[in-house]
Order: sequence, then C-alpha cells, then structure tokens
Amino acid sequence: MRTTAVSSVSRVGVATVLWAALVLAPVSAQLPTLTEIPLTDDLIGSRSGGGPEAVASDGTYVWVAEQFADTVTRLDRLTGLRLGTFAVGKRPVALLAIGPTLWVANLESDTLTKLRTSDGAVLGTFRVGDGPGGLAFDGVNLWVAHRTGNTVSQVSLDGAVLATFRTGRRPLNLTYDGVNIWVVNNLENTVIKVRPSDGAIVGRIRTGDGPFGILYDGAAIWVTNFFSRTVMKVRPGDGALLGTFSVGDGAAGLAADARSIWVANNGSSTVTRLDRATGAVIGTYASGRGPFGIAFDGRNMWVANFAGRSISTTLSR
Amino acid sequence: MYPLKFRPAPLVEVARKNRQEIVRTGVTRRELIKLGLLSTSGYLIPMRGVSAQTGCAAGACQLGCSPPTIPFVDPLPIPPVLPERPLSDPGFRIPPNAQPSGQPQDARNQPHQFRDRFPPQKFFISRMRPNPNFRFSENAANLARIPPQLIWGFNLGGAAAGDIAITPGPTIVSRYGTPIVVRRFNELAPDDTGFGVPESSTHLHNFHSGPDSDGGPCDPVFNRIVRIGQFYDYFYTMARAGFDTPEFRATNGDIRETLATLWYHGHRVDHTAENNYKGLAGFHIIFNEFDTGNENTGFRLPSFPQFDVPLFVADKLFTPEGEICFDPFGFDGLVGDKYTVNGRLQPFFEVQKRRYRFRILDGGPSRFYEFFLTNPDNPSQSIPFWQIANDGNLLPRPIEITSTRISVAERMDVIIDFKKIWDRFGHPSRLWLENRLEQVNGRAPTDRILPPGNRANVVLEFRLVGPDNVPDPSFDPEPVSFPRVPCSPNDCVFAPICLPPLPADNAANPADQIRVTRSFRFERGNGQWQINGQLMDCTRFRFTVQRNTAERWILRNNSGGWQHPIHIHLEEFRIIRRNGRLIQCGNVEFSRKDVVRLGFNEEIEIVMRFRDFRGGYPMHCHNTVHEDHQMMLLWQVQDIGDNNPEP
Amino acid sequence: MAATRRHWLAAVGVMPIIGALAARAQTPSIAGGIQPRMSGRERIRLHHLPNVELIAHTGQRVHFYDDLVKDKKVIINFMYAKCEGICVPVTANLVRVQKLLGDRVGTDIFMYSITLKPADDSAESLREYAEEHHVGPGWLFLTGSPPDIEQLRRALGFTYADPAEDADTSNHIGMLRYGVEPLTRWAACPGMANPEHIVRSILWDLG
Repeated sequence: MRTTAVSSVSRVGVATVLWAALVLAPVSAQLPTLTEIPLTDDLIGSRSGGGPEAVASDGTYVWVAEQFADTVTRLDRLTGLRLGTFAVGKRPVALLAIGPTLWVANLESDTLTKLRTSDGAVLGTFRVGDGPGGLAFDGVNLWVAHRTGNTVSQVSLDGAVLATFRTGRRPLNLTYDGVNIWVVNNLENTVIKVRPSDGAIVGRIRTGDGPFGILYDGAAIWVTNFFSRTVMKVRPGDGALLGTFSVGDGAAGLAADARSIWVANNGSSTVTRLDRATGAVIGTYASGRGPFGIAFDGRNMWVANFAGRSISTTLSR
Repeated sequence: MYPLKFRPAPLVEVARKNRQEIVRTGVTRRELIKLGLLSTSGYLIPMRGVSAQTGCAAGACQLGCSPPTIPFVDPLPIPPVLPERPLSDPGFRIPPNAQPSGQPQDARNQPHQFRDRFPPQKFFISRMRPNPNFRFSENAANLARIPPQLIWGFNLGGAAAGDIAITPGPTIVSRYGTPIVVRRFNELAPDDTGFGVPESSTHLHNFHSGPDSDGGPCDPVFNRIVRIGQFYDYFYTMARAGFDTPEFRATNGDIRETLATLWYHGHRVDHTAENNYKGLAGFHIIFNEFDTGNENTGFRLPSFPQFDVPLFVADKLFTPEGEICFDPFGFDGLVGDKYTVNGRLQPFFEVQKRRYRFRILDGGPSRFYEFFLTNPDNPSQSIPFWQIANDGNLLPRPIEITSTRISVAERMDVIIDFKKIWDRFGHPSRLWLENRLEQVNGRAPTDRILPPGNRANVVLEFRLVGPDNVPDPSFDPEPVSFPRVPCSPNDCVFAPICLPPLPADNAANPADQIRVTRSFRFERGNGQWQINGQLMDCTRFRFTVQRNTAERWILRNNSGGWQHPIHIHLEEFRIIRRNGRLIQCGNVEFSRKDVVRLGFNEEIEIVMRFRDFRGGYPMHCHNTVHEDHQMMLLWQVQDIGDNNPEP
Repeated sequence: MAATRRHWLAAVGVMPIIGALAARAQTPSIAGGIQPRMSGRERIRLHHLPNVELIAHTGQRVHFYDDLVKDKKVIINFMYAKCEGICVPVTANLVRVQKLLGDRVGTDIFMYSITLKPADDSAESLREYAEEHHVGPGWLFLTGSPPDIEQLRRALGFTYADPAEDADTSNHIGMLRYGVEPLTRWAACPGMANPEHIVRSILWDLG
C-alpha cells in the first residue's frame, strides 16, 4: 500500500494495521517453519497472560508451563492436541519429567509441584529455597537451582530438601553428567561443576555473555550464551572447551536428539540445529515468537514461545 | 583463555586471524579489556594510539579508562534557585500566552489546557546553553586529569553571556496554588564532543501536566522538539490531579495527589540519553501548605535550602584524556566509573549534627544504585536512616532503612539524623553515602552487594562538623517510623496528604471503578525493543484511556537478561502486586510512584487514574539508552476510551 | 508561515561552533602532554566508521568513510540477500521508507545496506536482490572482503559479541542506524517499524 508523506491519523492507522501484520511475521518465508500450536483459543487479549518459557516431555505427553497463568498445559505428542490445563504454583518456569511424574519449579511461590502425568493430579507441593528456576535429576534425587537465593538444593523424590550448596549469581539452569552437577551462573558468566556429595566446586569455566541453558548429551556439556549468541561444547571430565558455535540472538534453551543439539533463539525467534559431533549447523527453523525452552519427546522437538503464547514443533500436522 | 573456534564458515578465519594478531602480542582477553582494546560493545579498537600512560587507547570510552581522581576534595555544590522574572523581562518580548504565538522562534503549536482556570502568577526563563568551561572538580590535581570542558546545562534565565549554564540546572521551586510558566530557550550549538543533539523537549518528571507542557518525546500532530534559537512555554497549573473531576473541582484537585520532588530533563526523542548525560537536567521542588520548606511550620520537615538538599547522582565515563564521553552507538546502556553529585566528582558535604532531608535522584543514564551509609572508620556498622518519600510522594509512614535501592529517574527522599548517628555510632567524623550494588554493564545490576568501605563506590562524603548540640526543631521520623511502630494500610503520618483510595473492580464510588485492565509484555526481538510485540510509533496512539477513569495495567518481563525501570507520564500510579504478592505497608513501594522496576520474570500490577487533561503521553523504559532505541509507546486520554486489553 | 519558520531556523542553525572552539582554547594540556585532544568527530570516525573498501551492487568500488559517509546524511542497515538464516524483511520495509523520502534519497540522504554474508553475496547477487525489491536510486547495497565487513559490522555496533566469539548472525539485524556524520549526530530505530514513523524519526535528525 502506497502512502505519501506523514498523513492524517486515520490513513496512518490503516497503514499501521497492515504494518503490524508484517511485524508479527519476524522471519521470511524462505526459512523452514516449525508447526505452531497456540496455547489458547483466544485470538487477542491474552497473549501476555501466559508467557510460556518451559517445556518438557515424559515420552507420552508434552508439557508447557505458562508462567503468568500459573498453570501447565498437557499436549498429546503425536497430534499436538491440548489435553488439559492444570494449576501449579506461582510463576512456573522449569519442568522436568521423571518416570510417571512431572516436576514444576515455581519461581515466585518458592515451591516445587509434583504432578502425576497420567491425569495431572497434584501429588505434592514442596517448599524449597528462594526462586526455584532450574531442575535436573541425578538418577536418585532431584536438583533445583535457586535463581534468587543463588544456591542449588538436592531434593528427594518425596520433596525433602536433603542438602543446599552455594552457587554464583543467578543460577538459571543445571544438568547432571553422571558424576557432577553443572550450573550456569547467568550474572557471572561462568559455569560451575559441583560435587553432589558435599557441594564442593570442582570446576569453573568462563562462558560467553549471559550463560542461560545447559544440558548433558551423554558425552558433552552444552551451554548457551544469551548475549553472545553462541553455544559452547565442554568436555565434562576436565572442563576443556571443545568448541563454540554461532547460533541466533538470545540463545536460551537447548535439547538433544540422537545426532543433534537444538537451541532456541529467543531474540531471533528461530531454532538452530547443530551436529553433536562437529558443531556444524544442520538447519535453522522459524519458531513462534520469543522462544525460550525446548524439549525432545523421543521423536520430535517442542519449543515454548514466550511472546507467541504457543508451542512450536517439528511434528507436522 | 581463548576458545577454540570450530566452524566451517569463512568468518571464523577472520576472527581467528584478528585474535591471533592480538595473541601474538602476548595479551590475554582480560588484558585486552584493560588495555581498552575492547569497547563496551565488544569490538576491537584499532591498535594504534594505545596510550602507554593509562593503558587505554586514545579516546577510549569505557569502564576503567577514566583518569584516576582524588575523591572528597570538592564541596557539594547546591544548585541555585531559578529566579522569578517579570513579564517586562526582554525574554518575554513575545508574550507567554495560552495560545502559541505562531512566530518561528516559538516551537509550540498547541495551546495550554486549563490556562483560563489557572492563570499563571509567576514566570520563569531558563536558557539551555553550552558551558565550555565546566569543572567537574576545582581541585588542581583533579583538574590536571579532568580539565574544564564542555557540557550542556541551564542558566538562571538571563540573556547575557555572563549568565552561564550549569549542570544540574537551577532548582525550580514552586508551590501548589501558584501556577507558573517556564519559558525555555534553546541556545545550544553543535560541537565536536561526539555526542549530544542540540535540541530538546523538557519534561517535568513527573508533574501532572497537559500534553502541551509535559515535554514528551513526540506526538502524531503536535511538535515537541525545540530547535536552536527557539523557545517553548511550559505551563504548570500547580494544581493536584483531579482538579477537573466532580469530586475535587472545588479544591483544585485531590490534596492526596501532592508531589514534592520532581526533576526536569531533556526528552528529545532518540537522543534523551546523550543529552541528559551531557547535562540537560535539574531539580524542581514543590512545597505546599504542609510540606512548607520551613521546619517550624506544617510537617516541620528540615528547612529548605540549608537542611533540605537535593542530590543529583550521575555516573560518567571520561576518556583517558579527561573528557566526558558517550558512545552513541551503544545499545544496552552506559554505566560510568566516575560518580558525580550535583555535577562534582565525589564531593564532600559538611553537615551539622542534626537532621537533614536529602532528595536523592538517580540521574542515569542506566545504573541502578543501592545506597548505604558507611562509617569509613568502622565500615561494618549498619547505620539506619529514614525514607519519607518515593518518587516525590510522601510515604504514609516513614520507614527506617539501612539502604535504599534506586533506579534511573526514581527519587527517594530520606532523612538522615547526623546527631543520632554521632551519639550512637561512636562519634564518626565522616559518613559515606556508598553505592554497594554491583553493575558492570548497562543491562542490569549483577545483584551482588559489595562489601562496605570502598571509596571508589562512594558518591558523597558527609563531614560532621559544628557543635555537638545544635537546636533541631525539625520533624523526627524515628518515633513514628516502621518497624518501630507497626504499620497499617490506613497510616497517614503526613495527614492530610494520605494515600488516596485505590481504584478497584467493584468500587462503591464510580470514580474509583477500574474501567479496563491492560497487559504489556516488554521484550526484545531481532535487537528491537518491543512492547506487546510491537515497535514504537510516533505517528499513532496505541490505545485510548477514558478521561477521569482508572485502569489496571499489568507489566511483564521474561528471563532474558534485562531489567527495566518503566515510567508512565501524567499521573502517579500505585503498585498493587509484585509477582502476585500484595505490596503492603512497611514496604517503600507502598506509595504513589511514577517509575517501577521490572526485574527478571516479573509481573507487576499497577492501578492508575487519568484525569483532567486530554491528549497523548508516553510509557517507556527509563534506562535512557533503551528509551532511545525506542522502548516506548504512546497512549492518549480522551472522553471515550477503548477496551483493548493487549494494545 | 511554515516557509518562514523553516527559513528562519535554517539561518539560525548555522551558528558558530562556539563551544568546541572555546573548549579547545581553554583546555590545558594533560599532565605530561601525552596526546592532543581528539575531536568527537575524529573519535567516532576512528572507532565506528572504518574506511574499508566495499563494492556496491552497481559495481562501484568505494571506501566506506571517504566515499559513503564523510560529510553526509546516511541511513545504514545490515541484511542478507540469500536468506538461509534468519530473515527479517527490513529491505521491503525500507523500500517504503525510500518512497516516502522521495527524491531526497541520492541527493542529500544516502541509504546503504551492507551484507552480513559477503562470501555469499557478490555485487552481482546484490544487484539482483536490489532489482527484485524495486530499490530506487541513491540506495547502495554493499559487499566486501569478509574481514572488512566484519570490522565494519563491529564498528557500527551491530554486535554484542566480544571478539572471542565470531557470531555473524542476527544480532541487531533489525535496527537501522542513521546519522549526520559532520554533526556527529547518530541514532538507531527498529527497521521493522511503521515506515512513516521511521521517516519521521529520520527527518527529525537528518533535517
């Protein structure tokens, strides 16, 4: 639509509505696009209400936490259909599936919610430390990173806090490599390796700017750097840096499948897929807007889109 | 330690080559930063021109490269009060009428609302000028490193060259009930400092002004920008909000909407950060029949000006050559390594052993502060003081605190009782106003509270002088402060300036009814700041609120790494909940405010009224660098509002 | 009335650079007299406007500072012609901006789009890209050697990365940087904003 010089408000208004439509499509059609599934049926007026960041899969279902709605939503992993929404604590920002249960970290209520995945029933709500925002499992116990308290706690599957150890500032996420717990310290630009028995910090690595997500893929530790737009591959044994690879703007959550690492890029609204062995970029895909978390269900990837209030997936519908 | 690069694309070769050249010289990454070869945005500065003396490249503008200076050798300047002028002053040759004059020098193209109802009784002139000889210190050793240099400021309003500009500008002192006009002339000029755009729109933060006088950044129709050689007449009713509502028409507004500590600053769209940083800001203090400025009357708050002192805190960066600098190519924000208060580097202030009221302002551009009082001779002492106002609004009950956090554009009025401190903490001869909140980039503080007693973190040194016993008739907050006195939601120590009733969903009084709830997501995509996924647009208003009604606004932020002080023009709001938790009495945020800090993953619920005036205003982040990269939206007040819940 | 105002403002705008001249005269030498004071314009040139050699889609060889930016009013953005990675349709939006600016583009306002993938985007492919988008005259699409493009990108601030990283992707790709080089007046606005808003913002600064 042609417009000439700065015109009256009404003409501008029309142009702007067309404009807004264009802005809502952040990527060109040339980029392969993941299937996007809205988390709400409302077309307008509720996108801000959800703010999903966390996503997880228990192998049967896919779970998404809507942090401003204080709920988790369950989807069928084979069809993407929504199968119920369940109330949890305040500001759920992390999810972890363990067997038939789903654990939810509630950042504002300082609790963990334990749900039964078969029906969403709450099996327990447990008080933990200040600002739980990251979850990991060591095979026996749960580990929780406290973003405000700057600690990690070891928590039994009955919800008892067994031990608490200090971390650096703003530990956003953590993972377990079979021996030690690895924690990102987002406001210190480091990752620390913590010995589970006594909390001793047995390794510390300088990361890029704003380390955000971390995972262990069975062989290596991967860490995303939000502001540097990279993902780092680290050898767990000695902390040696095996490579740093470019991804998109606002590299946040990550997930692994058999041969690749997938990174959600919050700023560019894309997902980058890299070869696990070489770090080479296999593909880049457009997701919904503002993705944070990403999870693998055994076959497909699922991405939680904060701004889009939707979930994007490699599942085709 | 250098990460190994592993990428098939050619760019890796480039970067590796660049780095290898540097590595060949034997420097580590940490040294690179120290040597000034990395800028704040992370790029490589050409290697020629590395200064052997300071270790930073010539003209480097980054943390660690400001020249060292000696603190506490300059007395704290107190900005003078802007004098009133008669209409016969030559500056008013074009009379300051309600209607714009239509002359080319008159930048205003919008009439003053409610001028008939509130005819101005006092007139002021303020001229924005360069001051090429501004001294950040008068000390010879400091001057050798940071010489007199060019800043921008405001003068006392006279036309003569001798009426030089200062920063912060003169304090404007007003009283409710005495409407005023301030005519601001733009007498700036282009220069070769590398930053600053010689144009302005001066916003009185956060007076209840009409859009014609609010000094906002832009409007779809009306001009806000004052160019060189132009002036703009800003009209302030000096009436509280509500003056055009049925309930408060007779009293010219709701007395509970009284404001005290305001500041005026440039709001030139897209260049607010650099212009304010260059000096275009000052205080505006409002007194009234209760907060009188005289400690023998009304609330008996410490007398102005001797014991009621505004403190404009601003952090700066200087090049190794000693020149104030600002990188207009930065996106995240600027934090400086040199603190100034009222324009001087780390000054000292002699205080009598009695109570003082300090009006602390974080003048930006980006830093968050947490101020403590430290006894340099015994830093482990935890020394209390009292907060009595937030963003210029008297608290329902003073709160005893040991620190106060303050983000850009917030104002915190505190009472420090130097007599009590003298008696209770072992006769300290000096006290430091120390910032202990660590922040290393413009995005957000690290949230680490640094250990006390580091002079590099001290903005101001108080020196306790004079007799041990001096008369002090001023208000003593201690016996009525929280937590000594349990608080209640109906507290009103400063009656009748109490908290007004909160708008509610099912209010008995229709004027208190929340008409609409709207939510706003603050986020970033592809490097562009967005609010609800949309970009700033000076050509339109995103939504319309209905005049003389109330709304609830919900502000949300995600896990990405930015914290934002969000500011809304026109009226003060109340924070109802932060992350679902009600803000309760005893919290300094249990107050009327106009700037709210939005942290990681936070959801903040505010309620606000939109009274009296019609027209457009902004909501924006007050990290002024974010603001300049258009983290802002425009909304308007009209007789009929819309109901868009996610505009 | 409008004409009078514009005329009058133009006359007044040509004021002597009093501040800077006075500052130079008054500034005492730094202890030790290490370096003469660098002007702001020189500092910005040194840190942000490297004089790298570029090739325009027209085939012209140019130097960034000397030929494209010095003494000019400019609008600069970064893009990719071959969009395998992150694509933001800034170019299409800028075409609308160019139309609104009319014949000023190429006369006193110059638009430059610089590729972020110089290895992929030759002058020829940029020319095709420009033609596909119906780009008008006065707007150059530019490529160059990868090290030069990298240096330029960093210098213009289109990066967060520290130099230990070599990310080349989409940071700030959405922003437009514009300015008046001789006045050291620089700003940035989102490239995907309403074109009328972009034009307004730009004209407020570029005049």
